[in-house]
Amino acid sequence: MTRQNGDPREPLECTAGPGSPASAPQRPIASRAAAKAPGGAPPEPAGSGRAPERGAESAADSAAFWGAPVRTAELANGLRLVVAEDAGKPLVSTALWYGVGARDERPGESGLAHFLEHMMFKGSEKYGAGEVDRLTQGLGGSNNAFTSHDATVYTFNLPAARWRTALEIEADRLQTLLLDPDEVDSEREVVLEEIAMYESDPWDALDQAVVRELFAGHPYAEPVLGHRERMRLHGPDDLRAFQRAHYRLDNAVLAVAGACDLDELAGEAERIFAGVGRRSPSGARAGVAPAVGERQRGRVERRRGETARLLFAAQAPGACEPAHPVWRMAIAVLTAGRGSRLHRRLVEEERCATWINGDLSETVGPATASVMLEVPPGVEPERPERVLWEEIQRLADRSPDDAELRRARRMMKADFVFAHERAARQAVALGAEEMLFGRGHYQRLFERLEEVRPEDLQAVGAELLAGRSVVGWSLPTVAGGSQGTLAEASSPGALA
Amino acid sequence: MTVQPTVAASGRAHSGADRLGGELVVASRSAAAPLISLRVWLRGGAAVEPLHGLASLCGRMLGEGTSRSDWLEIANACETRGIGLSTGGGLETVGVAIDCLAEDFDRGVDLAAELLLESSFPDERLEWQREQTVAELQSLADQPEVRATWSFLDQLYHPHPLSRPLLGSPESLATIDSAACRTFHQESRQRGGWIALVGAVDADTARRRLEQAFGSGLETWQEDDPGADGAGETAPPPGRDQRLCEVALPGSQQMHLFAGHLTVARTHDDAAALEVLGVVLGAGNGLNGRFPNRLREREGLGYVAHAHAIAGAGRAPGRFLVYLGTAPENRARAERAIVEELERLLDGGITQQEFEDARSYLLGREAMRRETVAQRADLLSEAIFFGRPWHDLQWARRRYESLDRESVEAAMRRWLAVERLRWTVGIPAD
Repeated sequence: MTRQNGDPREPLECTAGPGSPASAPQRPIASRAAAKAPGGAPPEPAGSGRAPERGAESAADSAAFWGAPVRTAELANGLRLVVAEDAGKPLVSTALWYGVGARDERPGESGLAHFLEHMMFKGSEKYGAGEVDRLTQGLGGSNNAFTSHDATVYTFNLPAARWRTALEIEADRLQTLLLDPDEVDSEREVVLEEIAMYESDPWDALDQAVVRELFAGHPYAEPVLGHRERMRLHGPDDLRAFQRAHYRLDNAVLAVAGACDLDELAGEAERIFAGVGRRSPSGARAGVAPAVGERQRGRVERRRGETARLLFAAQAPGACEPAHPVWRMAIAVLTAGRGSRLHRRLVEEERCATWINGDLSETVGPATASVMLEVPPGVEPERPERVLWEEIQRLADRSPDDAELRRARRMMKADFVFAHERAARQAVALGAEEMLFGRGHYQRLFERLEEVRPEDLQAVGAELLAGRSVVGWSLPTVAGGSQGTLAEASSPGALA
Repeated sequence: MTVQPTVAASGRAHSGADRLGGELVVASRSAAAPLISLRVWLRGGAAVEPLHGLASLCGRMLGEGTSRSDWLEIANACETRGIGLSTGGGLETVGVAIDCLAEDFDRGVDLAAELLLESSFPDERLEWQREQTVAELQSLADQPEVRATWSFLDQLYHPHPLSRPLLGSPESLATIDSAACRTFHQESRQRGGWIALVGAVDADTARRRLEQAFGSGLETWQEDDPGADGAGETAPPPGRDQRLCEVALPGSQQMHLFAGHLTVARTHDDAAALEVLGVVLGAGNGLNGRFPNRLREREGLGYVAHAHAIAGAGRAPGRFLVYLGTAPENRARAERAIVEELERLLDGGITQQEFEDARSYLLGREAMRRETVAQRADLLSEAIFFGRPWHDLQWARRRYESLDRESVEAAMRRWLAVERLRWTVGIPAD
């Protein structure tokens, strides 16, 4: 959930090309993106709080992986630094990670982590409301922020010589956030509109309903944006208390990529954050709750629009668990590319879906493995659901061949390389490693992917059948008709 | 065909007699990452399609089969190597975009050539693509902001192809068969095309390889072909007569409000000034800009609020627009605020600080738009099409550096007007 303003339907820049070549293809036909390489999206983290040794530097071979040497340090005030140094880039991207997210909210605090993220742009002593955006723009840069269940992240992309400004802004709003009551009231309305926006989108609304069911009783079930009724009660004092409790330098990582070296960064960070002392945390951050233990298949149905949409979601091992790479491989074999099992079967052979996609979230706590599809007009929704279960059963019954694994590995590797060409993506990914997953996480992940054997994937298939999962449907609205439910396609047992 | 390479860093304007005959190969070595981005485009988009949706469907069909390979073999050729392949048709072009690791350069070039020169448009695949496209249109229509956007574009651009979804409509798609695709593709090839290539390969190697792969498959651009001048601006479409269009949005909690009118094409002399103005209005960083500042930051009316002065400009005019997603009960406040801000802008002009901040933003953004090989390949494509060196960083920066506050205000007063505003309001309905 980002603070970012913007509508993808209208270009934010005047670069519409000849028709436009760059944007002409509506759907990649053999997309790397469909491979869903790790690190491709803001991860959904959870704080593990591994503190690196002060002054330590990471292994030199990280340079080959990231395309730039990666170095780390920890300042006396507890702030951890990680830098991908690339003097050839004309810019510097920063990502300041705080180890707090929606999962840290106590009863009654629903939505506070995300609300506070918004308020960090609404005025501090040196930078009045809106001044962060104005200053960033005047420097030729951009900024944004996002909140997940497990972390809150503030980003800047600035021309190479201007990166110190990002640190100055971060230091000031960390120490002197104003939280003016009028600004709080106004921004609350913005967040309520953000909630309305997501609830109006058919896929977002379905996703929220499915996640709520999948993680029932777990902090991940709670919406990052918060519940409307609670949001209306949050005031400046709540926000300030939340910030004081969680926004500490010893609970933060500053990740940087681009034309900036560690020594210079460390010196400037020491100077700029000098006024921020190490504070005693109000209590150790709670660990991530384990997966919801009850192994059962849930079901969610909604009525919306004209297209039938299926979202299958299952609990999966978190990003740091040994089995996570195996699951990543399994999801890729099932859904990555037109040659994947589910695409071939659902879209090309049975033609009971027009589009499919798959994902495995990156969390320290339990992850979400998901498959999404849309059903063409005239096709009974039971059909694609039945085929989905049949293919999961096939995965459990028979190992994929080596070629399927090679294909999935190759797609994930290429996707990762292309996705992390941008300094901004590198900064976010390095921050995720340092804050959440452990240094060298992505490199290890790709090493583990090399070790995955075909038979390993059978266990994933078995777990998808027997573990905790939810089938969510968004079904077409029946004008004036019944709102009856869809018959469950079949049970795993019936397929055996 | 003669392949005549040039190098990206030349910064040369490709216009008039300077345009290179035949394919244009633009290669630039990128040492930072071992990646290649290849774009091969033919002139043949919706702007010249005889049937609504034909260009888009033709573009999609490029990946559906050739005289040598079926769809699955094409997919396998990409996915076993991690090659990213997109095919499609837009307003002005149809073509192929490939992103691959440098070690797969040869495969990528061969694949692009096969898809463009040997495409077979098999009947059975066309039928399925058509069904998928109809389903995609239905799915898009479920998204409230898309439905509202379609209405707004129709209001402004009718009867230009931009006034309707480039994908086509269920009715128009039903009339398209393989023969129509083959004919359209052949005509597109005859109109000519170009190649833009960026990545870890040197220009000589690239030229040799492309010559080998494409041979004489692409015709040269004809200077006397009136449709061949990519930089030529099209006449502004009249748009719909009505000042206000209201559209029902089933399932939406929010109202989607658009206000705006057409401005100028991308190659117009005032385009750069309107880009700077657009940032002042709300097309720049964060929530900066007059309209998002008023609508979201000061009044808390919505989460998404932005404004532009030349959005979507190509050969056809771009548009001044203000957008807000908000609760239905905020409608009157939002409409009043938009009019007041536009009047304030036109009456009082922009401040020197606003001008300088906006220009700085655009100058800084230029470097960030060239960070990846794919970004640079796309800029090169546009440079070739429009006959302007958009890919040249120094040229791009000079466009903005030559402006001052007065020139931006003058362009604003030439092209923005309260009385020209047209409104589209998407209203929640259940």
